[in-house]
Amino acid sequence: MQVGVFDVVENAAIHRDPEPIIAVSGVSKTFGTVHAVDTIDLKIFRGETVALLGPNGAGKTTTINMLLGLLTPTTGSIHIFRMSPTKAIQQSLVGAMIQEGKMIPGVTISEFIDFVRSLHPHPLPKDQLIEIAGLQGLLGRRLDRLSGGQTQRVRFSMAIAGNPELLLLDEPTAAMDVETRREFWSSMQAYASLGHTILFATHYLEEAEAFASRLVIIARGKIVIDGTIEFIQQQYGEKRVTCNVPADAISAASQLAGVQRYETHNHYITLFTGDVDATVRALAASTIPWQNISISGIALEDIFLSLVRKGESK
Amino acid sequence: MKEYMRLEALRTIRDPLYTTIAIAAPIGFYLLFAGLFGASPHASGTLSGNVEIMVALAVFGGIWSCLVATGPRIAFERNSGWLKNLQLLPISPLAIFIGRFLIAVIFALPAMLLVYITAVVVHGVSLPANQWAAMILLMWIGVWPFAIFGVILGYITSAESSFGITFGIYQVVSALGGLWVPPAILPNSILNIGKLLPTYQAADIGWHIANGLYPTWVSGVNLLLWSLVFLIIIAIVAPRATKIR
Repeated sequence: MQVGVFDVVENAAIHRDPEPIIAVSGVSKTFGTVHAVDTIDLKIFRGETVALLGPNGAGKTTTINMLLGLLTPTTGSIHIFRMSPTKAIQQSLVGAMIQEGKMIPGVTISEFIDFVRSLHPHPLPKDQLIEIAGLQGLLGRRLDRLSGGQTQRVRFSMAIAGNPELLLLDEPTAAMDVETRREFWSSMQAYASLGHTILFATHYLEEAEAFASRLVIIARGKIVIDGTIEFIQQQYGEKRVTCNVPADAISAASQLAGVQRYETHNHYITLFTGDVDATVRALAASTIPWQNISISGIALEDIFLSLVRKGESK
Repeated sequence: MKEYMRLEALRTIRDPLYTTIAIAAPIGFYLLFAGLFGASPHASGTLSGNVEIMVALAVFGGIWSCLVATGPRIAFERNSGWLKNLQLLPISPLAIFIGRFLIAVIFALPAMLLVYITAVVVHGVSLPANQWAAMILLMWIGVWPFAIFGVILGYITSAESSFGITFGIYQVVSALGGLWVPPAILPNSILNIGKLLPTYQAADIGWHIANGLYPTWVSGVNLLLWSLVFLIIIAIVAPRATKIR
């Protein structure tokens, strides 16, 4: 499932349109004396799945609300499909899930879906929409009598009903339990695999890592890094080479090319290296009797935490 | 807009605040008051009690239909965030406003018709066909300003207070406007205030027609002016009410 999804994303990324779908330039938003968003620049291209990742209060929701025209930037400009956010929504080019808001009371899911579909010129077929959003068997339910997870699915159906080119999702899995969350992301991937562009805000690193092809990490209203997971790991991460070595070889292993520091645990040594190729070559060429080698990147979480701390201390 | 109206219509039919207060209450009050006051006029030269009360309570029911489909509902939607979600869909705020207004006034019509029907069936009220036609149409139009007024209440009241405030204002302007107590019985000081209100003027259209007279231009101008004032207030309060923080 994932392979198919990311094929689309990768191909789209390779053949990038020169024109971004989302173009944010020098955008700030101030509430009184609080700089919720501080001079953000962001370009998002067709077919990308981008996570806007940051701790609570980092400015994610403010950013999404500005991208949707619900808030007006204090300074800077936002263009979506080369037009204003509101106009892009009016033209059915953007679908969105915001955090806030109960759905309309007194109507059933089926009636609601009919309504939303009727507003769009080329809606998804009703059956397909119900299936992607996972609303089978709930059609007769009133919108004011749903659980939190079910409400989120209705919101998701509202976001994709018009088959929009771009999806903007603000913390889409908030209020979902683990199982619902898993189902939601598989729905989302089904939608992404149709070649759509997705930007979602989250404070869950695992979600960002698992479902996005690109991370935009935001802290204190500023973008602290923007790139693919690999790029971020290369920029900020040492690689780890872990293998089983006898105690008397630890000292030799720790002095291999590229190794910056090391840790030992039981009979294993983990070498943190700035140049994994050089370290592995040196290890192979050495007389150290190593076994069970594995190579991994530094956990994204460590990078994330240190970037956020850096961003917040500024 | 048609689909938005369909959605609002479904909600209105299922809204107990509509079915009980707009539909059931005026009929119940009509049966009660017309039963008490009977066919005799309250003062010389006025309508029979059956007809006068019918007109008053038709307006009373029609006004509530207009208010309940706007005031408390908009206040609730502002609070719940539904209005914000609606901004994520390709439908313009103007279409929403017009759709809401149309549903409010469309649902006022059956509420009013049911009072007339009750009067005819239970108390044998009879009027010439052209008077019925004029009354049904013009009194219906007479309650429209309340659908605009309800939008203002929806914008300036909170979800918790909206029903109470809307219902309170409704009762006060109904009483002052002679919908509760026949105008002939009201003290002059109150009646002078009442005559400025759209409640009185909407009913006065019906009282004139039922008497075989043309409605006065005062009623028309009064209702038009109130509508204009309400629209201007909406233009002022709407941007603030729909803005998010």
